Amino acid sequence: MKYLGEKSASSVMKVVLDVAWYLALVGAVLLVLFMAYWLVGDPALPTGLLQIETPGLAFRFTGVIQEPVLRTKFALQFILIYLLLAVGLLVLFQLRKIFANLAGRTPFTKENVRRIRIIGIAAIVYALLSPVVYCLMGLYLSNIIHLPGVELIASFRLDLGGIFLGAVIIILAEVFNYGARLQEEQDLTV
Amino acid sequence: MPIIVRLDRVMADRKISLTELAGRVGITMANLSLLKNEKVRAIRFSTLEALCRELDCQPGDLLEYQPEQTEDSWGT
Repeated sequence: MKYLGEKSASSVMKVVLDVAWYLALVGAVLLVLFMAYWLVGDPALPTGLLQIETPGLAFRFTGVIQEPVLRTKFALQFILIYLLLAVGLLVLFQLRKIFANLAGRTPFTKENVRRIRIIGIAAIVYALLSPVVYCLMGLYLSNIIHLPGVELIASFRLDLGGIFLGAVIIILAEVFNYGARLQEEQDLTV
Repeated sequence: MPIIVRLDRVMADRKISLTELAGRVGITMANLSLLKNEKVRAIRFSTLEALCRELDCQPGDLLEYQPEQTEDSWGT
């Protein structure tokens, strides 16, 4: 199986990432429209029913009492989610460009090094940002939703795995940097 | 760089064009042009060997070392 160059696994990945990128852009626009609709219209959540999902298990509660939703607080939650989405979009964009390079020419270029480093930093930013965002959302939801006999508690859990992953990617970027230097030497040798 | 490539001089002596030499040596004309214009960082022994063979010369005819001129503290 061919991994680099034309008609390779990289070129297939490039197409997949292109599709994912445009879908994500459409999703981001729809999300903004959705927020605008809720802020202009009635930002009431569906009342009476709440479903909380964990991997492999979903809790469905009936008889939920919900306090009125304040537009400003709702908008703030939305902006927080959008921040996470922006980091995801940044990673997707960099991956698209990297795979376009892999499908075209050598992987060891300064451009790829820069993009891999950005992905590593983005992974760390996401790992640091997401627990804060989810905790704030948990606080918000636990304040506006009340379930008889159930206590909703906002929780904060640091994503150490994500931070570690980001550090690994940044180190790999340095490995690529070394490769790019060797490639440059090779290109300037006749 | 203190290493001067004298390929153009040897080529002129042998009356051989860049295209012909590139074909005989087995490297691209672009790479040979880069070598001639001292735009490369290194040369393989195999390339040097092929150039010496085709131009019937010694490596010293193609490459020349000129120490970099450094000004002393009096600027002379």
